[in-house]
Amino acid sequence: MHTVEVSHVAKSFGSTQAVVDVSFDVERGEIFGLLGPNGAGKTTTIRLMLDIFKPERGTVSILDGPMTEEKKERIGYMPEERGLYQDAPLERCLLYLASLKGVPAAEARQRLGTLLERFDLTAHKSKKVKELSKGMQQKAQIINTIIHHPELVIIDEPFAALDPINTQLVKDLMRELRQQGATILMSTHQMHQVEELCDRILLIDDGKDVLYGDLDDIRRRFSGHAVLVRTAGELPTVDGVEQAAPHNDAVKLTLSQGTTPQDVLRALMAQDVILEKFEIATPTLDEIFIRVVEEGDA
Amino acid sequence: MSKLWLVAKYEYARNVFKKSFIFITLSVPLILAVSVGLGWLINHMENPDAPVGYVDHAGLLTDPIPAPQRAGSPDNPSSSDLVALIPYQTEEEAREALESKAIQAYYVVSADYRQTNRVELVYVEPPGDNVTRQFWDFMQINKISDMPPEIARRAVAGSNLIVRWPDDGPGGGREFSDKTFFNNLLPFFIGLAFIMLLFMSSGTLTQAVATEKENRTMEIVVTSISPGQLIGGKVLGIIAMTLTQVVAWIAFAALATFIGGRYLDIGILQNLSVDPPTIITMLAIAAPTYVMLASLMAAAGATVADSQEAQQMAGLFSLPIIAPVWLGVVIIENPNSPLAIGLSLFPPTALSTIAMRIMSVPIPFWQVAVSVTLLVLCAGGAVWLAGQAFRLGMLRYGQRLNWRELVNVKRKT
Repeated sequence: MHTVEVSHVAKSFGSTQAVVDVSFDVERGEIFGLLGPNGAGKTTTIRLMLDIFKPERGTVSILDGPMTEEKKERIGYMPEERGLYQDAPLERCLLYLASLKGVPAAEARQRLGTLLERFDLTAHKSKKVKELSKGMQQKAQIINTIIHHPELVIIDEPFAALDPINTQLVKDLMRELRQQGATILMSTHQMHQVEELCDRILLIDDGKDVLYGDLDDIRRRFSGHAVLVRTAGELPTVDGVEQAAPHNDAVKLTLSQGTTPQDVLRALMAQDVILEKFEIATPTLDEIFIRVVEEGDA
Repeated sequence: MSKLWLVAKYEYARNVFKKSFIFITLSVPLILAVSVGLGWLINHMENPDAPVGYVDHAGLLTDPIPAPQRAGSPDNPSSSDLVALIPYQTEEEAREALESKAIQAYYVVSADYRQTNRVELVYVEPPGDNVTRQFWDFMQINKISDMPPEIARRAVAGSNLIVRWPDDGPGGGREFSDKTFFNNLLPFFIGLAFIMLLFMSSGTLTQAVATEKENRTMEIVVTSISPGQLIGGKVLGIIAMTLTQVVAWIAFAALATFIGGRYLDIGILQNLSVDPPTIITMLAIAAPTYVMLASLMAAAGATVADSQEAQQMAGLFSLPIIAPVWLGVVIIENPNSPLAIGLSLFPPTALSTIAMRIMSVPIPFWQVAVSVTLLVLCAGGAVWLAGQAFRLGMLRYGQRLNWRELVNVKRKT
């Protein structure tokens, strides 16, 4: 059974079709990336999952069934439009929000102490939230998302406003949560973080799912359009190569439509070229994103 | 603890420990204490209690009957403004006493008083009204001293008009007289107090919802609890906050009434009472009015962009509630006019109109019943509207919600 199952959901606001047709599953214990350009429908999809909005079409199953009040305590959510009670002291604000997630007061206080320490916020716990920096507020939001030990964490742009040290802290935390069996759904524009953390992804564009699956499989699927070649002598001209550009200690050959890496390899072997390196260039997620979104190359 | 109570507890603590709340809660009794104290002080400054002398050339007061006591009730007369009346044989003796400040003034009853009614008053500083009134009563009772004393005393006491409703009619047995004047005003003050509380608490509610939106906490909270628990908890917390204030004020008011009536002899604070049917009527009207207004304020809080706008909106809702007070004279003079009855039945104006009418006439049962029924229906509608507004408006950060959307859209979320 999947932690989340979204099947052909659709949602519109007036004349705007925010989500046209989106389907995906999130498996238990994985980090899942929900990607897409601005306005693609990611936030609406998350809100449909959490029953904040009702879908006009399609179904959502979360933690083995429809959303219920009881399940809210098993989910940690850090929304895109985030906020805390600005006039409340940080500790009181987080303890209150933890109590709404069903954490008993004494336990919440103990867990909060540990998390504040870990996020280097202990010295600021008595300050009003509005007196904290953006980065500190972001860390406080993350604490609020995980303090009740959720089974499912849904987190929108977890690295926004964080410096490299705190970014690393959050990445470590996410890996730790996964190890502990939590399922994480992460929405972000930082593709290198997705590459580093996510097991599987869904790319949404114009309210539709355009790319979905295992990250390595997707990268493999999009590889083959370029090869990295280093030869002992001069690299001869090869048919089917659109562009040749230096790439670290090799040359990156971008292949034309219909040309495969095997074609290039055969052509080079036919010319008795001594190959020191021949590698299929794997595209970055950024490149895949651009190709899919801008060129419709799904 | 239920999450509804957690929200209520948080909302209560958030408001009650605010400096502004503590200041308002304490400042009202302080103003009350200052008012009672000032009233007592002015009363005593205006009515010095030094004795007053008299010289009787008419031979009317040779064996005088004392002046009857007027202030307070016969069972518990207020003696604070009574002064001693000292007879003098000659004007010289009286003048001497005045100059030595043994008396504050003296009267000279002329020898031809029976024909001319001429009395002279000699003073350094004019005496208070209490002195004039007391000496006048003293003269009156002694002019008819040949009558049986109880008749003489009754004649001097003057008219005592009591308007009484028939025992078997609506408001049966209710009385209006000089003695019950302040008691008759009490329902109006109770109504006004309810209106004040409504504004205070429902305004806070508007802000509480708008602040949730302004802080962007709405989405976090509604994924922890249901919107109903959020709104219900906020309403409960704010009602508790209001009750805290009310209890504090009632306690202070009771203390002020007790001290003012018992120890400072302030007449209007003695023997205060209000009849239970009046209280029940006022509560029956006020409760659904509160729910109606609180729900409308909550809806307003969910539709506006920020808490400042919410406050302006709260002001708009207040207008129809308080509007009948502007027509107060018309309503009190003709409490059973079609206008007064119409405003009593119209939900937004019912509370203040009935508070004014109930001072002078008993409100027929059917009018109270129709008014309460309409208020309950409107309160139900307002709760529905608030739910719609909350569901539609909660995630529209920094944006207003069109009221037409609220009514037209059946299933937006």
